[in-house]
Amino acid sequence: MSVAQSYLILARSSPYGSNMPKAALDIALTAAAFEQEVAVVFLDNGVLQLLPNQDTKSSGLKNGSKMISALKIYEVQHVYIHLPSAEKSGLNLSEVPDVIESITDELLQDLVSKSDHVMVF
Amino acid sequence: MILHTVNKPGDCLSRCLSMASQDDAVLLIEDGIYGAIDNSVNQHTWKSLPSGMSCYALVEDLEVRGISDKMLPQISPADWALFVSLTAEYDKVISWG
Repeated sequence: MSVAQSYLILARSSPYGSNMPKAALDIALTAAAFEQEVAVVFLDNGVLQLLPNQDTKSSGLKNGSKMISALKIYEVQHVYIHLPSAEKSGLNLSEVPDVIESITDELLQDLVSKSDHVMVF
Repeated sequence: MILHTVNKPGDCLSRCLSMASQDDAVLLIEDGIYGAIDNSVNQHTWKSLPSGMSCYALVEDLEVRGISDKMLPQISPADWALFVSLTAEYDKVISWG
């Protein structure tokens, strides 16, 4: 692909209830691997994917939160947490990984309108 | 100019409407259709809608679910041909689900 397009991934689902969180990460990593501009925003129940201390040892499930912390290493340019959603869920910003930036309603709307592709998971 | 398709009611529709701006359009499909019923919950949900925004519901899904005659007045029925022309007319499509 010669021309990079911008992809905005909106992660709205809680972490273990469906395969949506995994699909969101797969898309983000795939687009980034093809040198596209990728931003991921965790909003609504999606912010719960960022809770610290998720322990999947006894369940046999895969802990997606580790991958989220590593997204930037795989060339995903921006990873955001939606501030109003974080407040609603009682999530403290000091709890989420340092690599995650915060985004307001206004800036998110701006990002939605400027991105070439917006995908909701 | 964005076409928002919504295939579930409730918080999915609310989130979509919070993101939509005046020159966008919203099209309700599948279970998203239930967001078109004229009831108090939906009246509240659609209250903050930017004025002049186009709102549609897919006729086939309305008929299947039996709510063609229970729709909020600001929502217009859309057939498949209109769905297709909307996707061509707007710059991009966001599928909320």
